[in-house]
Amino acid sequence: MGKAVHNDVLDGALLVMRSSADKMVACSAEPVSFAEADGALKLAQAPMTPSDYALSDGVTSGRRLSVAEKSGAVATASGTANHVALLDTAGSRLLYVTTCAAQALSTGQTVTFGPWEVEIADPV
Amino acid sequence: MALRGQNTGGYMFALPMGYDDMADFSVFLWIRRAATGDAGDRILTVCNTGRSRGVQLHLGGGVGGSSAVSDLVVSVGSGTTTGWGSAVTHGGRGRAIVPGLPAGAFMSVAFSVRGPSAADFSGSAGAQQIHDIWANGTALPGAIATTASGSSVPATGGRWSLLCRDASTPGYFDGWVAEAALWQGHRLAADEVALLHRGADARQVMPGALLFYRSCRAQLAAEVGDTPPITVGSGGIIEAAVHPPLLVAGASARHGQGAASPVLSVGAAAPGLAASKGVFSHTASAPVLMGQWAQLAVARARHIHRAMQAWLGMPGRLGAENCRHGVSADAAAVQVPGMFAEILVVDDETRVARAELP
Repeated sequence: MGKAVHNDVLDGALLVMRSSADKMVACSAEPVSFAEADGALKLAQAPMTPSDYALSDGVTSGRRLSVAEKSGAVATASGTANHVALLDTAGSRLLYVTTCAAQALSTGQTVTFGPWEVEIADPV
Repeated sequence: MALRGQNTGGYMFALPMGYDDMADFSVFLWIRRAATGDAGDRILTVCNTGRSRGVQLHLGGGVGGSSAVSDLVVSVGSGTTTGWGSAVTHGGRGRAIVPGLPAGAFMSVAFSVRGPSAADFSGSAGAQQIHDIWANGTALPGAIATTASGSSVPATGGRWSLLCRDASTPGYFDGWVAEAALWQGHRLAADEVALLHRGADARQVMPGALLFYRSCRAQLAAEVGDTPPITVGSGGIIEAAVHPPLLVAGASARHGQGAASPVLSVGAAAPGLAASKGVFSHTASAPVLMGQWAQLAVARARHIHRAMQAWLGMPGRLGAENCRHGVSADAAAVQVPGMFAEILVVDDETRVARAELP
């Protein structure tokens, strides 16, 4: 007896990010709310549009959302970035949080957000 | 954060342990020139004890065959104490001139150097050759040549320095440097330079070959190959608000499949322990096969139970073929609780063991 899922089911989750996450932020700690991610913990930010995301088959299985590199962002606060988050500013939602290698930032520095991915695997 | 020199000072550092002046090496750093600057101002210098090999980065302006102060000149060792960048020993690859070092903006510079022992070395007499060079991530093969004029050689004594050459003839630099890194025994590849140009930490590229790395992000101390600084003139300052691009990369995430997905284990799948043409013996610390069917198959081998050895505590099958099966005194009995009717299958041999059923 096998298990299977239609791509549309997995894409459904990933499309929420593609269509709604209009800001990517670097944070000094793991944010647990939109207010934290877009406020006290935010060190740098980059605007995002749907074209910054790409849906494709997963590396292992399932489906993958690739988040494009964003260069030219400017650090708005000083601190050590160790998390990256995707925000829905219209709905004030914290959509996704991931980690990043600790990076010290100072106000005014140019920051590049490197590319990364979110992948949802097929059922096992 | 970057190290700021104001034409009044710089730093020298002892060469890290393991420095090999004959090896290939690569350098990466960010440079930002102030509006003012003098011809020949030294930005980074690496020099061996004998003053014969190393590299110098300095402003142009007629020095070393360049034409403008905004030229960045890279000269490598000639194998002697003169003619760095201009000697015939370089085989035409002793110098690179990168035009347009901007004032007020950072430019990344990366280059690789062939050591005199390299297989593709086409110079002579222990000189070095520039292999590749990039500015802002763009390869500039046409910038490599050997010019008529050379770069004056640093003073005696192995060192590397930032913002100056040495204490006797410093040539202080007016500007900023950051992310200075040297890899020994490695030539940077284009994709590595691209990653560094985007702001990646130098330790993300061939960390095993990294001989020194001074990011100047927070302090002068080096992340790799830290040797105490010797202040020359007024030294320099770490400016927090000035730094080249930094790379922040979110970690990719996988849902529904762990990084170390467990193997589906099936209890009924008996692990097989097979030994062929060898001596298979249980030692005192041999694990007990517990909890599942076990099959011990020995072909053409001697199977010997010794005292205190492990025993098959569960239903199992011990099959031996064409071999001797001997049980020494005090050997543990093969205890097989349960259903197996066939404990020992022995062909053509003398069986001296007795299997006991509970």
